[in-house]
Amino acid sequence: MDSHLQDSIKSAHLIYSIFLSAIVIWCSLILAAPLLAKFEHRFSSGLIYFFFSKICHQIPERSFFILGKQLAVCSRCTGLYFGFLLGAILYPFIFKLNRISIPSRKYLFLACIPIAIDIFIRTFHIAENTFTSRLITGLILGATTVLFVLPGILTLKFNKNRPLIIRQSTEIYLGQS
Amino acid sequence: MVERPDKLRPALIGGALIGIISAIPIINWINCFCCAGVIIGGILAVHLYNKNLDGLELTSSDGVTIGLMAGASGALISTILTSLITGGVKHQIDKALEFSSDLPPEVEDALIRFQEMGGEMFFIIVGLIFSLIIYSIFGIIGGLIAVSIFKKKQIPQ
Repeated sequence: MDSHLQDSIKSAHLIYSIFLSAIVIWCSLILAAPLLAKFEHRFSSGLIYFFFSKICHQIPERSFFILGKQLAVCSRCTGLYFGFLLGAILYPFIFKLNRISIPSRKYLFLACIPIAIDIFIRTFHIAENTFTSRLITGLILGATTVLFVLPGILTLKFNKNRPLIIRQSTEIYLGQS
Repeated sequence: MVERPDKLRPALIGGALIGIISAIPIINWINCFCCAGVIIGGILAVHLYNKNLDGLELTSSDGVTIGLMAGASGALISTILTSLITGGVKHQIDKALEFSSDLPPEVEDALIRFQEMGGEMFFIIVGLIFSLIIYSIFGIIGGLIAVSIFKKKQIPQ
């Protein structure tokens, strides 16, 4: 195998591992806040809640609880972040890391539709959304977003070394020209 | 070698949008939806940069750099604007404590500790650090989504 191709595969795996670790840390923080609160580490737990309060309303009625304490984000955000984690874990089983495929942008817009409907029906009092609907619609969008973010991250190092080759099927082959 | 266009200007425009969205009450609720305002700012910044590329290829490192710059500048702008709009940090802490029944009780504890540890300045620094981290991450995500959306597909030779 071409040594440049081997290097590219190695760096793609390294970048993927760092990316996945970062998402695991992010999702662990969401779970850590209620656990720390439960075990009376109120300040550290408060810091995590305060951190996530910048990106989530944290309304108790719309949040999941663990051991009687609410998660650091609401049920929809939980779905989004854990969907993102799920998508990142499944990614290498569906696509090869050295043969990146960028889906058509329409899939990103399609993934927004369920969450938009879920918000729409509640905003206009057509029906009340549920924990399940918020979680599932969040999971769908979170998992789909990975398909548009991870290819860019995997090709980061590669961009500097050699130009990307994108095939008509929008697949990027690392280490080939 | 062809010189690539300036990244700072589109990043600052994206950052300004992020700052405005994040600072104006009611509109800033958009950030409660997975930091959508920051992601939109990152996408806008890369879109503006892409318009100036004149046939050059948009790369993912462009997306990361511009998204990061837009997110970081957005965090700074929103911190300044929020302080101006809401009438100072002390007012923000008081207001947060007033409405803390909607938040986990641990947040109230943390806010009270912030007041004890150094008051406004400590609150500003912690808030700014958190905003810089969060807005940079979501700015990068916006930048990378923009690259996937706007990147021109190359026909194989």
